[in-house]
Amino acid sequence: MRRSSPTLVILQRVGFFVLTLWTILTISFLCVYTLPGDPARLILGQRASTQTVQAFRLAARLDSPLAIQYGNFLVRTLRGDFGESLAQRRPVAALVRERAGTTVLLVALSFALMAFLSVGLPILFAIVGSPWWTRALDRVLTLFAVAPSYVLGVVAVGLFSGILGWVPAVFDATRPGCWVLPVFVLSIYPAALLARVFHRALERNSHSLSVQRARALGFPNSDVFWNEVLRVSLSAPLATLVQGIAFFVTGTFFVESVFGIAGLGGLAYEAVRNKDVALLVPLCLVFGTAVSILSVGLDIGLRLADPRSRSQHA
Amino acid sequence: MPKGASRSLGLVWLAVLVLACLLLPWLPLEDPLQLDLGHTLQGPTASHLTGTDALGRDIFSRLLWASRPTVLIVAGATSLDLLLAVVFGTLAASRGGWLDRLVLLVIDLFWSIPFVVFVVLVVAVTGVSILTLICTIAGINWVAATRIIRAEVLRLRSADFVRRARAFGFPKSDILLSEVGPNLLPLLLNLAAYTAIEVLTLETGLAFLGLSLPAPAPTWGGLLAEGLSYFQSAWWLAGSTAIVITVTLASLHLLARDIESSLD
Repeated sequence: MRRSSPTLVILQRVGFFVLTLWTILTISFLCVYTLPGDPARLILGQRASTQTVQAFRLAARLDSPLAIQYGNFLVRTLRGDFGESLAQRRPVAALVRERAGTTVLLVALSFALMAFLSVGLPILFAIVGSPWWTRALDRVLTLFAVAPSYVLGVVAVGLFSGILGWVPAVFDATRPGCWVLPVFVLSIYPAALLARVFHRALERNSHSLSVQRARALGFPNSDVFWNEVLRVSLSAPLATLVQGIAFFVTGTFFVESVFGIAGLGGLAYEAVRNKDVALLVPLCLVFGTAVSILSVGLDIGLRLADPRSRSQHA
Repeated sequence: MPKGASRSLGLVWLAVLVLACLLLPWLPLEDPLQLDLGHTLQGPTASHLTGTDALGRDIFSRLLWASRPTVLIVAGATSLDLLLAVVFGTLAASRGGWLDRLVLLVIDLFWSIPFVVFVVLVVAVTGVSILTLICTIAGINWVAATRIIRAEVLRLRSADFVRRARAFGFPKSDILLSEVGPNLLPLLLNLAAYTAIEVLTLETGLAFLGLSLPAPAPTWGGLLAEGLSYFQSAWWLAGSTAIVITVTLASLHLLARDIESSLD
């Protein structure tokens, strides 16, 4: 066990964040510039004329050594110069700005639903004193979580907009009803996972020694629950969440393509369909950066909030 | 349903699937690529058990043929995944020091980078083959299993029988092979089931996005994406594909849980 100060924890995590960012940049570079295939052709597309490709090779200095290209790539990207989308003929930065809001809203809503289903409801049931309902909730969530998000999504779209006609077939961000299904589909798998982890932690901690001692000393049950059981149990699902955040955010990729949502995931789907590598690379960077910011942020929060994990060896 | 029944149902489904993949060329199925423009988008009938698609191809036959590359990719990627996990997990646990710290750092990195997005990028750039799919999927998936195996090796190393063997002076590599190795097997079996679930989910998801074997070869994900566009006129296309994918995953889940409970 090693006790570290909060400043050190934050410094460590920021260092880790920089390392993550560098890894993401390097992998993106390696994908396009060292895998088989001509980067100029990849970026300009198969239909570009030989002259265009030659001009691009000169302008992007593709003939210079790999290390110099790598340096150029890093400088360009860090400056925020993402180039132009091949299929859409527009600057990538503008496209990303346009679409980001929808994805952020989708992730935020799903996050809230996930937190409610996996942590909020079990707490509610624990207060009401019904472990049966907690277990039933766990079973139902698990049942839904067996099918991947894209399968659930396709079935939901088909059923509720195709056959029943309750939801319009074309996603409309201004209509709240349109958000129900995507948010449900995106949150159900992590909710099931976290509910299970939280449920186990609750059961384990409600019989711990400190709980028995607090009860024996005559503290009221509700005090014991809040102070001894709940606060300790919350760190388990939070730790799982830190590990699963990448999975959660990339879930938008599938959910947005199923529901035809014009967010960043939908944009990536279009890029894949159009073989638009010039758009796909910056999108990878955006997703990667967003996920690592979230993950590092959550991690710092978790370490600062929970005295036990703060003292643990990382 | 009694516990034994659900367990054997899952096993039976997986066995039938693998067997069907092996025997496909000899099964009395329609050609999965045979167009029949006179009978497009037909509902389930006796001759087409799960109907036909927009080009009149038999969906049942396409589903079965699609399971072939899927089973191959799942088997390949799961094996490669576990191989990497065993190598790195055991090395990290038994060597310790900087190697252990490096492996843990890489695991942490993998958890904070959305590698699914990079798989999409790699597959989009290199083009798709069964081999690239196996390598890229295993390449991003090995960290979870590695962490678990590392922890298990650490636990086994301090177990009584390993300490005794060490006290007798057996060489380190012998102890790893003959004492630690066999005790890892049940855990490996359990990890294999869970890894197969992850690989199948990812592979079908990629196919759904259009990143799998090129048309006209059928894939589960591809059939599902097709079904999405025809849901109103031909619900059976997406319906039957969704059922096949979900039942296969559910069977793997049952299997995984079963192995887990027999471990305890």
